[in-house]
Amino acid sequence: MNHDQVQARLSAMLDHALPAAEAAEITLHLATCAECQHAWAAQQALQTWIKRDAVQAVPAGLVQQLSQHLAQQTAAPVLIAAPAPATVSEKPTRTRPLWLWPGFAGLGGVLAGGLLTLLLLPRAPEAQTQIAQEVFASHIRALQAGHLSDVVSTDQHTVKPWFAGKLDFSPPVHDLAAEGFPLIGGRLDYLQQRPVAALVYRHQLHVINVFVWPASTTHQPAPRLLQQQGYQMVAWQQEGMNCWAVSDLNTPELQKFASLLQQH
Amino acid sequence: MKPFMPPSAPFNAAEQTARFEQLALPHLHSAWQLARWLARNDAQAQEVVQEAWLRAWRYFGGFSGTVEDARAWLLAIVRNAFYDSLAAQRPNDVLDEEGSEAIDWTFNPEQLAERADAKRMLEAALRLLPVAYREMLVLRELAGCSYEEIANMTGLPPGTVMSRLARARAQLAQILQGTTR
Ligand SMILES: [Zn+2]
Repeated sequence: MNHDQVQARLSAMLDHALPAAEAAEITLHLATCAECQHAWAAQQALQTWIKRDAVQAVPAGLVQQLSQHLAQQTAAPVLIAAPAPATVSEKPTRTRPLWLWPGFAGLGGVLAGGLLTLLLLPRAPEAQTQIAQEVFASHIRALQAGHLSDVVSTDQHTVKPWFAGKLDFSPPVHDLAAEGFPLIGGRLDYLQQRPVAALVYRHQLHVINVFVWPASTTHQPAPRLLQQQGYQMVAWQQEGMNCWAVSDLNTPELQKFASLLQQH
Repeated sequence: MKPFMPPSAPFNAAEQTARFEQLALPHLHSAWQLARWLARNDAQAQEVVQEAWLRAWRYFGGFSGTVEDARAWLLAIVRNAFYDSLAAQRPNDVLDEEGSEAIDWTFNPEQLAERADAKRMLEAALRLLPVAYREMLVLRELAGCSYEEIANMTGLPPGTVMSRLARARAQLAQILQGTTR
């Protein structure tokens, strides 16, 4: 190893990142070359200085701030939009959504449209809160266990029959790949003390879980929008089913997704 | 019909948070050093750490390593949180990674390090480095990451990590040498 090669490797030598044979060669060269000795000493001095002076203590209160922030984010779900009264329809139609979704216009459209009333409530109604917490927990559990799908398929004609022998109802399964929300699979999950269908969609890097189970009434509540820990949830009824979509997608995009599902 | 069993362990956010903090808090010091040297100021650094903390909490269930492994895992999340926050305003530092890195190492920063204003001087010099070089130094010197860990979290080949560190040190020495003239 020549002088220039040694100089080029001093930094790696400092990091103990060289193979033993190379380090030994450099040590030999250092014993004979004053210039490299200087360079080596300078690099060591710089390292010592950085380790001593480039460090700053963690700001007082940061630990507590982080902890509080997490606690806030893990608190109960918050209802951010609730229906105005009298948005009840007797018969659901398959082709036309019952509600105009604010998704396309954002929340500003909610108020302008007047179909949904924006309510900033500390808590959602209790029944909703309970379902929301279960939906949220199931979503997190599926993500964390890496267990999103029992049937992995982008084909709705594979996913729909898969549920047939496993549930006593048939969830609506629609692929929205053309609209940017490809179906990636389905699995069984458990909500409200009953087995439910979980359909898994993707939008870019975001996973969307849609939980589906039969609605107990034909009364059609308007879609609800909830938020927990930075995750958004939308609840609606469709084809006689309760549907809950949950994702870390932003609100307008998740609403757009839910609205697309309904139009199928 | 096959009976469906409900999940055995109910999800408990408070318990999950406690386990997360046990794993992550030992690395807050390293995370803070990285955030502070990436961000423009302490306020921005706090936002970065806060965002990273929340992301880490979310991904935590997918993490299966030890407390020791958690350092590189957490630092990678801090780094991503920072670059995501800057997505709209990426610094356009131009890196000269091709040119010679040979500099006059006869200059020894040891005397500078003994001056009363040494800390301020070093901080000013570090701020002048391109962020891509500065983060290499911080990850290596302050967070104690190996080349392999840095390569994994930045997506750079280990050889590039090695040469960036060499260049970062050389440029820093050059800047410091300039301040003494
Ligand atoms: Zn030499």
